[in-house]
Amino acid sequence: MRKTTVKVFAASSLTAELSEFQPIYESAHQNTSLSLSFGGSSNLATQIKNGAPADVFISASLEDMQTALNGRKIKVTPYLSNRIVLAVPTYSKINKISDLTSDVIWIQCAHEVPCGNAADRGLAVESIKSMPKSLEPSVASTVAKLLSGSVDAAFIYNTDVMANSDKLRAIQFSDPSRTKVTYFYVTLNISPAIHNLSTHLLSAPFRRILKKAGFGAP
Amino acid sequence: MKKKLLLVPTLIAVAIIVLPLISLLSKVSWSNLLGDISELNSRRAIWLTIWSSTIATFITLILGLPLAWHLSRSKSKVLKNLRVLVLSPLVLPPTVAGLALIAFMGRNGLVGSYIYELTGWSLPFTSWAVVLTGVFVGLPYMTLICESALRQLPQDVEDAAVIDRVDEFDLFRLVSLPQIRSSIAVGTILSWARAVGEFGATLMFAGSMPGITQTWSMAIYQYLDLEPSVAYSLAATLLIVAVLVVFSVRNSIERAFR
Repeated sequence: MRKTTVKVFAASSLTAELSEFQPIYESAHQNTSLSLSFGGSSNLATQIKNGAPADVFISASLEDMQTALNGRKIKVTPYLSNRIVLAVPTYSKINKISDLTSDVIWIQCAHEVPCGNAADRGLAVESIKSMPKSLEPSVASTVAKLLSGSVDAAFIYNTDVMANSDKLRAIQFSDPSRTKVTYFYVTLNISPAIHNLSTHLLSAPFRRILKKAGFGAP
Repeated sequence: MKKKLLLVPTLIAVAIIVLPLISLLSKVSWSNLLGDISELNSRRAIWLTIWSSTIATFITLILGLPLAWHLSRSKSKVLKNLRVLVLSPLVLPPTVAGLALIAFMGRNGLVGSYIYELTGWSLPFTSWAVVLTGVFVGLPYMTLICESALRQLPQDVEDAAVIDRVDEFDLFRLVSLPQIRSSIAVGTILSWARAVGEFGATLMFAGSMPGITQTWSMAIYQYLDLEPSVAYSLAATLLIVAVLVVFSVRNSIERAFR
């Protein structure tokens, strides 16, 4: 029997979990191979809008999902949630968000990308008097600067902290609900292979794996 | 028939370069262009890019010309290997260049850690980090072009000067440099253009902060998410400036590559 390839476009914060899932799924479903493409949600949405052949799209923002659908009426499922936290190295003396004084080098994502937008919402009700040193274009470059020791603290996803729990710890906002980011799931094409994959990705066992990685319910 | 064998690839080559540029210009809403590029963050990014690249190019000239001179006169193996090292930023991907600069001048860097310990100051996230990145990526262009020009200088002019007991510094300043004016102009423009266009290494090393480290190309990238029309206006302006700059030195380019 011929192999079908299912193309999954997903927000880059899902890279670790989906990459781990891929070989397990493929060995259990010999006729299906998965092609995973990760990136910033807005970037992926633009690619899909411009005709990139995605079967499944998992977006970290509803707005980007609408860009990708470009007017097509397809059911969008709220899938997961993540939240922005203040991440610091485990040895750091910073313990609360108000510890971000002007001698601390801290960064966040740019205001227009989901991770920066969520950080802004949280910071709006915190009282800090310092400014970020950089407004990064993606959460990936933000995490990289924190892990390389270029900065003392950064606003990144809770799941990024969990994935580096040996090096980083998370400091919560006083109102964590303000920095919540909801992920949405959509199937853009119809085939038995796509349906089967979606059933797995939306199933309780896979959601438990995601929960372990630090994701929450939508 | 045989004539076409050369003509067809030529036309394809021109099309591959020119068509994307024309397509870019076709996406620009010209009536909004002035408004788009005079937005606060656009203006800051353009201004930062122009002054930081100009300073970077100035440093590149001061450091690159003596380096090119020494390389052009070297017969030693050490200097030959040094040339390969000096030119390596030409082939480094921006991510590698960025990592190297962080490892060098970051707070935990080889040199940066000493400066940080002594003064509490670090280079990343300052405009000077943008300048240093520009020097790092620009120096190889200046060195490559000027060294090759210095090597082609007729030996008898130099011999005559040596007979007249001209010392080495004056030989460099009064005899060699005036003869390679066109190459210096081309090297300057290419280093400047390379610094203006730098994106990845600057982002990694300097970050992206409007008014401080957010350069022209970073602003284009950032605006694509926010207001694509501003991104296109900024891109078109950059393209126009680049073409004008190259046009302004077209005579030098002709002479330098003759």
